[in-house]
Amino acid sequence: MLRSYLKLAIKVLLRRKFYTFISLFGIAFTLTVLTLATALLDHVFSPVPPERHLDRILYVKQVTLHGEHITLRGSPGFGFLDASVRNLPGAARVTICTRGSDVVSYSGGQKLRLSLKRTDGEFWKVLDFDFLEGGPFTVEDDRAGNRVAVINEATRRQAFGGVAALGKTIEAGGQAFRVVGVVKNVPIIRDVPFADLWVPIGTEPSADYKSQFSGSYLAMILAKDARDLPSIKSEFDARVATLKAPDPKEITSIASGADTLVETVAREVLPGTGRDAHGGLLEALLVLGAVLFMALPALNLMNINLSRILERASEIGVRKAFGASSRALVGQFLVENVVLTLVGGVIAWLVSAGALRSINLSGLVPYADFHMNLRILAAGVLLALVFGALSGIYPAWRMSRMHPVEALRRRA
Amino acid sequence: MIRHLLKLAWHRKRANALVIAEIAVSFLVLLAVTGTGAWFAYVYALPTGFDRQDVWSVEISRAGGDDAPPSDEARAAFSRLLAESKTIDGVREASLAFGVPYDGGTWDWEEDHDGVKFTTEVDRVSDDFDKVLGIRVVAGRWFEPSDDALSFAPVVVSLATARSVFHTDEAVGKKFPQEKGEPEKRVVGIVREFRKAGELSALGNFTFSRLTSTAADGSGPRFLLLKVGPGSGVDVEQRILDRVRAVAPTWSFQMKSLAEMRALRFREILVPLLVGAIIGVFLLLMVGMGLVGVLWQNVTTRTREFGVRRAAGASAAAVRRQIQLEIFVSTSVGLFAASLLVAQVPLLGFLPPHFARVTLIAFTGSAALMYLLTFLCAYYPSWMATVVQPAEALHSE
Repeated sequence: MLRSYLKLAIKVLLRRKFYTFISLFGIAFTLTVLTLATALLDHVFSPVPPERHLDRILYVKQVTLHGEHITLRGSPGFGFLDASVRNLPGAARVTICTRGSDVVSYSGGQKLRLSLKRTDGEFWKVLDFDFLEGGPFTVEDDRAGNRVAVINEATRRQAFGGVAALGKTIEAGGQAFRVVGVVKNVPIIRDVPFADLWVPIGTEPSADYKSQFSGSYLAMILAKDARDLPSIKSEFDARVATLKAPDPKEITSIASGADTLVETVAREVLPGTGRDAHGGLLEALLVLGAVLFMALPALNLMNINLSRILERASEIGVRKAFGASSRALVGQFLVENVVLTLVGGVIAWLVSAGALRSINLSGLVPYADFHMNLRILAAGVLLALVFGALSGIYPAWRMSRMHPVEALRRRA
Repeated sequence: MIRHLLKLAWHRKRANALVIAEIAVSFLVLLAVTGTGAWFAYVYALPTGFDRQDVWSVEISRAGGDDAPPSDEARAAFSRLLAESKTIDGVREASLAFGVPYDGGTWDWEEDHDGVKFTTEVDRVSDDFDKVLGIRVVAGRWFEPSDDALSFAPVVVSLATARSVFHTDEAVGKKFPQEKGEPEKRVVGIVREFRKAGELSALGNFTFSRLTSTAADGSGPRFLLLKVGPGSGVDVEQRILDRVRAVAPTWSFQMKSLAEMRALRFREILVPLLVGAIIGVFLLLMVGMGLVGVLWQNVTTRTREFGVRRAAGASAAAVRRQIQLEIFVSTSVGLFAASLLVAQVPLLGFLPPHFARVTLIAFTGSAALMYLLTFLCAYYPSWMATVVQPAEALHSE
């Protein structure tokens, strides 16, 4: 049955090539935009190195300090994190690092703009970096405040001409560091691991950061098991509730949260998030956005499909006269539409792959390494099916309701 | 004629409804794209109130964090920093500021003044800020060192602020609203305009308060803003950084030219706009092709109807006109429905002022484009309708 539907679908598509072309153009364009959006989201949220164990990592990236006169919402300070994230039950490792800042490095009369992140030694155990040379600095390096640095491939190329950089000195933000490791570039959209240059927190010029509650730090908690995340979250909340700010006169209450990666984004972009981050709401909004975007292309495809009904009136009439049920006809037309959208999906896939390649080459997104993968393929197929059903169901229903006598009377 | 066509369209309402819906949604998409584009084009052409040429900003990160009020020590360091930077070879003017153009942040202040609510963006800057940025004062004067001795806190406001607070341009000397517990504020000068976020920012009020070396309240400055000689390069940059680091060794400094910061802001705004525009153009192309297909099919199924009209004496041009007028009617109905939706937006009152004119331009432009698009889509099908000979058309079926 399905086979004959498929055969018929292909015959119909080849019959009026102009209509097939305009349908395919709309479908391929729509699915390309959606596939590109999916690819972008995938690269922001998928568990790839260095954030390989994404399902077990919680982030503390935001703190809100309320006072009678002020509300400070921003990155936590080292002091707050030091008091709240250490030794949480169920946590295997904890790391604290800076959000990252732009520094300037002058080497040989040329100016490099580098993103610098100060981290502790645990940072390299929570995240999996690919080392091209050397290795990470250690907890000891951090404690002693050793001026050592891990740099990325791009910085090695810019500062040292791409040759081995181990043991060489790089100046950044007025400090000189000895290079102990070189890692593969991390794309900028993974903002927690991303940097050009990683150095120990112990190299901060002043020790004032140690007591601050509001600052430019963030923490990552690696759980032993993904099932421990809820208990770690609630333990973290309980600890934050008992914390006293260094200046209790000004600050009366503190709010924060240990979030998964999706929740950190939800906390940032959705207004009015207090203690809880609405990761689910963010996902729902994304789906809604995709459906709204599909609305116009779906209307367009519906219109084209509807005008093709009449072209096939005699076929419908014959089938009805021989007793085909409405349901069978709806099924047949839906299959035809889905076949068309899947063909459009294949075109969209090829166009998207090309577009991502050109984004990588353009340097628009620093260190971007966008490529297609199975997750995006699965999402693409799902999107094509949804789009096919969305645009096919109404025309199919209209076709199936055509009166057999009327249909037979017409000649295409 | 139109009434007759409306009647015809009503008879075919089921077939037309989806086409009309498509036209309405397309119009909304087009309006969103042209509206945003027109808005940015409009504000881009307006003056910013400052000159960014050869201005560099040095972002200061205090060791003690930037949110807390600066300690006596830190305030002394700021004073030394300002004095030191004025002596650097190649630096012409220097000032400290909480915020500088294109820094990406805003500091808004909302207040009731005699029962009238007003909002203004605020910045706290030191005395030579006007010289660094070439800000022109249109009435009164800018801050001066002798302001230390004043019994009130001086403020400089933009003309728009003076109008919205005092309803007059003659605001110099008037008492400016203040929060409870704050010292009295008075307007000492008026600048024509200041748009801190630059050319692509909305128009709003702006108020400068004076940054002094003694005031212990509020957060300290975050930027050192420098006017340098034309054509200054990396050597000057490095010299400046070496000197300021020597003044405050535990702080960190980040240097950028306003031109660089401007490019960054522009990219943040224009890249999404460009992506939106590209998607919009493709959507309209898709809709256009879809309409050609629908109209073509429509014409082929109505061959007999046109045959009858031709046989009864209508010219080919009259038949063409009929088809074009039909799509004109559909477009009008679609635009009307979309306009009803659009009309809800300004009623909510969250759009910036000055928006009405831009919206009107974008609206008229988008409507004209929609009519043009549907006319072009109907052109070929309407011609198709008249190539069939009347006799043959009547014979068909």
